Amino acid sequence: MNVGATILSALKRFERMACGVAFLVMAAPLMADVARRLIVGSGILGAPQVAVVGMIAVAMFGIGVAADEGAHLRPRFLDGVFPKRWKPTIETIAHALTALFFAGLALIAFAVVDETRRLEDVNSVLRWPLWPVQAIIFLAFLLNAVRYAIYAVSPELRPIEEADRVPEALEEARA
Amino acid sequence: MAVEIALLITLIGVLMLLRQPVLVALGAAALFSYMVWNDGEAKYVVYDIWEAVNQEILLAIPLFILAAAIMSRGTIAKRLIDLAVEITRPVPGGLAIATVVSCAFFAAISGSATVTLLAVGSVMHKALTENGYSTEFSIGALCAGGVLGIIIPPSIPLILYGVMTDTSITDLFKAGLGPAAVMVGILAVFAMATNFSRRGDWTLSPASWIAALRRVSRASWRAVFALSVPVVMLGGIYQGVFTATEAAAVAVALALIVELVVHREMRPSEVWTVTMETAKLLGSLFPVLMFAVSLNILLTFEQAPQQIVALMETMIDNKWQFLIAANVLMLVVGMVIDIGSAVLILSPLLLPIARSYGIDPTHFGIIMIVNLGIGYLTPPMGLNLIVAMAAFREDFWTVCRGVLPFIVLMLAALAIVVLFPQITLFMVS
Repeated sequence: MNVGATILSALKRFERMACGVAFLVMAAPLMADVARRLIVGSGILGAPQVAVVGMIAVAMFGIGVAADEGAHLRPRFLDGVFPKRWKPTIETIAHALTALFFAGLALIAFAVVDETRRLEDVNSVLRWPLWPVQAIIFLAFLLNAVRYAIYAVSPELRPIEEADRVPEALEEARA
Repeated sequence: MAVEIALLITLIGVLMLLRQPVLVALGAAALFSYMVWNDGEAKYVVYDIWEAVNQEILLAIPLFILAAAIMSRGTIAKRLIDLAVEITRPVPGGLAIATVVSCAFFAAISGSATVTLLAVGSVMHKALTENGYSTEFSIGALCAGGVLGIIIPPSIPLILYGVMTDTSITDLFKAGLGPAAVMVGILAVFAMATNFSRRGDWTLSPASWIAALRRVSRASWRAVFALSVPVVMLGGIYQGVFTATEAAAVAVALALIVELVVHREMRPSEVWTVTMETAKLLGSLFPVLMFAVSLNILLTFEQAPQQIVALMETMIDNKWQFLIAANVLMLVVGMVIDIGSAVLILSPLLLPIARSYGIDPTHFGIIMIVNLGIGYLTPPMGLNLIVAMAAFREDFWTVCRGVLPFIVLMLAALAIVVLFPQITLFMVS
């Protein structure tokens, strides 16, 4: 396995694990909160805020899970503008551009996280510092910059877009 | 200003030409807008992304999607669809009507137009096309039926409207039922009329009726626990036992219990698969939402919506003029902006004007959601069109042709909802 594939495999494992844990962090406190309120009459202080942290992690690491499965929404009506033989080049440019986009966002997000850390902003209910949660946004953007950079240089590692999967499988079967 | 707007449009066009996902096109548009119109401060894009995701009310969204994914993976969706198929089997065009009714059943669980489309579509698209219904009709019916997901409670856009305008979410959930019934009726009549040649599976003999009744009662029994999920969830909300977010958490717990313990047709290991499917869906939808909200925060900061509303006020003399103008505005906005962002921007701006003309806030909320829901079906940005294109592997024009008659039907339903407030308010205290 080459370096790119190893990195992508590690990213996939990490992001899926993070999403799984984040779902637990999101759902469990809310369920416990409802159960406690139904049984005891009062909920758990801060449970929704903890759940929001889980939701942010799911949403951000989910970007990688969606990218890995070729599931990001993409308007395809302009795909036919360029000749078919240009497709590999266009796709390389596309992935490089997406990598640049995420890298740019990661840089901006890093500056924001650093600013929040220096200002010592905290969650109003839990009194937790905000910057570790905001760092999830930075990390997710960074990981996707790496992912798309690998896609740009290694065409064989690119995921097949969800919309293309069935037609391509059918074409292969017919061939 | 005109040069900047032209540059922005060109940027989005070039990105789409270069096969960029919607999230990149929207994110780049947000970055460009913040750089040009917000003193070159791109970091506020990230601050606004943070504001967009750091909201408790949004918790209902992933949880309802997770609950719907569990129910789609297991057999709850299938059982509800089977029940709808059995009930409508004797009617001409029964399978088409079953599609609409299944969407209505599933809408009571999912709260999302896209999830309803996917859950019902995964079963019914194949069934419809295999039974000779045209691809265009099948896709159109599923896309339009999917919109019921945001009108029949629990509805995520209704929750957002309630939060933004301080309107009772319970009242909004009650109010959604009447208009949803109107839409189901219109879609079902159209489905029957256009497929009348596909005769129902019945004869006049008593044996045929007894057999049909047996099938319906068997399907009802199989669906009894599946139906219990929306009953407990919505009952809990209506009785004030749960908030919408808590109901979503309860829905996840109930769905897991029903699928793993009662039906036992889902393995515990599949919970992980379902969770990852949900993460994938959220990973593709949330960033779009984040950047859309980010852009809208800037638009709001620059007072663009207020300028539009101020312009409307100078041209409006009475309630009906306002309703027509508001509906046209919402239809146009719904075509280009996602429903969540549109609700967040427009509801606090339009409601005060609506109130001044004596329009009930709950009624106006339903008008807004039905109206913006039509945006799910309108090219080029209609989310149900994009999802249907991907899920059913059809080209964009086939999908567009399929939804066209349904857009007309939805507009007719919207007109009825606007003209007859009683349909919306009959259950509201």
